[in-house]
Amino acid sequence: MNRKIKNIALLGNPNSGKSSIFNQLTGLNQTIGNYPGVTVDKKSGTFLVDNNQKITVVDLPGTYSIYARSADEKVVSDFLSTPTQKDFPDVLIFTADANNLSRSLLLFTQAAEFKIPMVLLLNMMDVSDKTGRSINIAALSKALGNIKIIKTNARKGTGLPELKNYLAALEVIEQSETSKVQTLDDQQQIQDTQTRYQKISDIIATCVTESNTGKTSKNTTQILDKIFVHKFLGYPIFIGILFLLFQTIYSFAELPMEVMDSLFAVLQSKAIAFFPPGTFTDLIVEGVIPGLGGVFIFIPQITILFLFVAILEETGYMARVVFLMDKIMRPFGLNGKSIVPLVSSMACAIPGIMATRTIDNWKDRIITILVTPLMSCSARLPVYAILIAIVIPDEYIFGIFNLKGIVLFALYLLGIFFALGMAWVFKIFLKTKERSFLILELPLYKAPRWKNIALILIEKIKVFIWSAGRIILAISIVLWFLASYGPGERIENAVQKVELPSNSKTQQEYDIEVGKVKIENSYIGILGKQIEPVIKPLGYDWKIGIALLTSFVAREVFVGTLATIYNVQIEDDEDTSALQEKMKSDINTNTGLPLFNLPTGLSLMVFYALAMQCMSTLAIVKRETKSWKWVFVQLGYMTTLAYVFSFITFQLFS
Amino acid sequence: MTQSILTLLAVVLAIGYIVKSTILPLFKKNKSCNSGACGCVDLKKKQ
Repeated sequence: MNRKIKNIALLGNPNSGKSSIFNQLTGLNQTIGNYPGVTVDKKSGTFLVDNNQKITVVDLPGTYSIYARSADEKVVSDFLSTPTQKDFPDVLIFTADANNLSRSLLLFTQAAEFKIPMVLLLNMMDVSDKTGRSINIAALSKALGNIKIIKTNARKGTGLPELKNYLAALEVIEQSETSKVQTLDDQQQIQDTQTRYQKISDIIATCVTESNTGKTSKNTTQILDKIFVHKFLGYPIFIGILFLLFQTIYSFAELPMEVMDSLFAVLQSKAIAFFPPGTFTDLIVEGVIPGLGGVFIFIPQITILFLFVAILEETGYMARVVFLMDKIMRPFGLNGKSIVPLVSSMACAIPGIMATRTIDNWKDRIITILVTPLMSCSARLPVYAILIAIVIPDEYIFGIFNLKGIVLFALYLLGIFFALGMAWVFKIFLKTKERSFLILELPLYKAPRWKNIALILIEKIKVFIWSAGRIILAISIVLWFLASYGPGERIENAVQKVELPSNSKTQQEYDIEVGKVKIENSYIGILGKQIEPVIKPLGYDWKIGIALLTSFVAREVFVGTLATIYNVQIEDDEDTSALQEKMKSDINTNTGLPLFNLPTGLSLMVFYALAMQCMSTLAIVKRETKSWKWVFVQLGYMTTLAYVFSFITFQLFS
Repeated sequence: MTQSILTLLAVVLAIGYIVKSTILPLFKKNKSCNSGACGCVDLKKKQ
């Protein structure tokens, strides 16, 4: 019986524009990268066509073949061969990169064997036209069995109204079964692929004509790639780009950071004036505002980091980074497919760990999951930034290179270095012998679309503010409570013992001492003093210890925690000075020296570079490995590394 | 009095949120994993 279509699925090679089409159709904001492997799970959304007909669309992971080897490829073959499952497509929308038609058609011919009605979208036609290539659509349609072909430009949405109209008019026959994927051994797969390619070559020869005239973007890409992926030049250029990024972070973020800082100081003053005196007002003024402000002033730096990454992704350079890193990482025993997860972890480890699904060898996948959180993510940036601002002098090397930017750059390199080293160590214990290779398509270089970059930036900053903001808000509230109250009369008794102001002691000195005594006898002070012996060898006092504990939830909480503790301790409503100033002036009661000096600061930076301080990452590791064992292995080895190397750093610089 | 109640409420809500967002996800089961179709293949089986 014929009926209107309800479900469609998007299928295609990696980086063929499926996610862009998915976003254009559904209006959702799924992550898109100009490099392969961004979609590793199937995602679904809905859209309406002209007659208010609702269609569910599933975005499948990009794959080169139906024959499943890795987890993401298995998603595709399982999904297409199980008509009973929810969202099974009535129509398969095949997205082909018009610039790589023969490779796309290999998957197309395999997918056609499922006997699901198909529509072929020839995507990136704008680039194809520029290269002087002409595709005879009618001939191609006939050669592929009279299927519907639509020219699209997913980035602009061109061709999608035609697709919607076609789907609205289409009726399908209810089907209960499809063909299964053939089970072929490696040799049979090679033969099958060769036969298919022979047929595809004949189709391409009759349907596609190439023009060699004019300056083409393909030529531009080839010229640029001679420089950017050159076996010698490629690496210094990549290091140079990273170096420039970290210099920029320090050069351009200073002014907006000062503005943000002033805004939070004003907010604090206004809150004091607005709310009536009481405990809830204290909670807002001493706990919530400093806690949030301490982290949010780093938004300008994070914005610059995200901006650079977005530009690199948009232009296509990120795929070249993956290619370059592959060569470096291979001697350390890392799987070629580990590179995308590791590079994407420089923004956040969670999508990085999910991207390991492309790795078909389970041991290689586990190793990649274990070392991925060592890459410095954006949550470490606020921690690095505040410590660098306090302990690294504002100096320039050779008069132009900011020393603070160089230290930040070194911390990112430290993460890469340890990720490689630990991968090598795990390789010995897990004894992987199977070799696997990275199949990477280098996309054409494209000029960045600023509107798209602006949207990505807004989205990422929104996510940072919302996700980091909620947890910092909650922790600031609990911390303020624990720092303001203590068991029984303990705080009152301790304050009574403080010597009153006299000729040798000013009122200000008295207030400072009372603040210290109060917080040391609060719940948080008591807990901090208990853990202090463990962290004392690293140069930390109990306040840093508390910040280390709370930032197990998320690294950026470190800054919010210190902001709350210092505000409760100083307890002067008029003092809205920056957190950095309060940290700089604090004295370590154990040594009598400034608490945040160079050895402690460097030790803390090394600790945060290596420690597994992220509960969300642990939850993802648990979900992906379905085992507590790897969660504890990761937590254990990273905490040990962090402790040992921050101890060594502290001792070296003391 | 109102301020004390508000403070207590804020602290209780904050503790609840911390537990919900940090500890509970560690024990959360992904239902779609049962089919293997979501991509979360069982690594132990592969071994």
